[in-house]
Amino acid sequence: MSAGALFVAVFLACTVEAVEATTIVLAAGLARGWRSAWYGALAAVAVLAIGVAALGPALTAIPTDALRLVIGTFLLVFGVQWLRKAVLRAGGITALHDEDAIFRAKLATAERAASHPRGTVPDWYGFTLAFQGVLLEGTEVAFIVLTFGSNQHAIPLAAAAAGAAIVLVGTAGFAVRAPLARVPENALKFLVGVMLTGFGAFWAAEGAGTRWPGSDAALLVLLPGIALLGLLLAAALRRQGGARNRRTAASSPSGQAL
Amino acid sequence: MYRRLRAGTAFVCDLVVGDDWRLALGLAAAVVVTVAISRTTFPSWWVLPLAILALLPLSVWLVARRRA
Repeated sequence: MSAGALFVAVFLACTVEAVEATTIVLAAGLARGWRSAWYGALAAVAVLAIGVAALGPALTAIPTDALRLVIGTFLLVFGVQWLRKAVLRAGGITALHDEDAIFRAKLATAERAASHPRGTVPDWYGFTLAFQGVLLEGTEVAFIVLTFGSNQHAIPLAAAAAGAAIVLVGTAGFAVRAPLARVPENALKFLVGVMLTGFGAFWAAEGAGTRWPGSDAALLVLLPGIALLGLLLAAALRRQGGARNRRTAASSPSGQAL
Repeated sequence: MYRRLRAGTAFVCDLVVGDDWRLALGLAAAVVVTVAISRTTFPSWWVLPLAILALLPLSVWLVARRRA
């Protein structure tokens, strides 16, 4: 895997999570004040950075084959779940992630909560809301940075890609002071799911002692193949949903009238 | 302490395994099969792509059927 591919994979994955974290920090900042929200977000980023810094060197000390087997398996399972979620959303089975609705709900809840200071934090509720949001969304970022980075012995590059995504999304979010609802979150999730699944399968098999036909070139078949499978599944779900809606309309009294 | 440990374990499980534990279990089993076959002289590269090809549509279909 080239450094460019590693950067792109981690950057895209982190963009998805950063959009969700930014929505929560914006709600905390607008409803409870920016100082507490910033403290909470920065504290969560510090916790995640310490985790990556502590676990990173430990992971790179593991023999390559064992590391690839374990990390590849985790990535494969994690990536297929992302892909599954993106396919179900694209197929209309589950609702698309609505950043506007989430933002409004968080804002309404945050505005109702009581305010009380703790230490140097002027509003504890705003702090914990931002802290939890960034920590929960950021854990997936840390997981991706650690798995991709340690496997390629390039944790600093993976961390830089994550940092670039967080800065870009964060800056855009705070510039418009609104959730980034226009980011094609599900398309990004689909793309990242494909990459995590493909690289996970590739590394897990290599770690198990498998030799892929064509070596690294196998990824050029594996990744488009997984993407095609996902697209076909989403299309099949949409077609099935459309057929069901037509049947429902035909069997309802208004449908019979038509 | 015990409650926090349990909550932490549940969070990590949820993070990696996600919504469908059977899909995760099936993929983990496919990795075990890959390890076993790679110890022989037979090629084993096809096991994981085949597992993805079989398990992902099955998992998606089960959700679609439940929602129908």
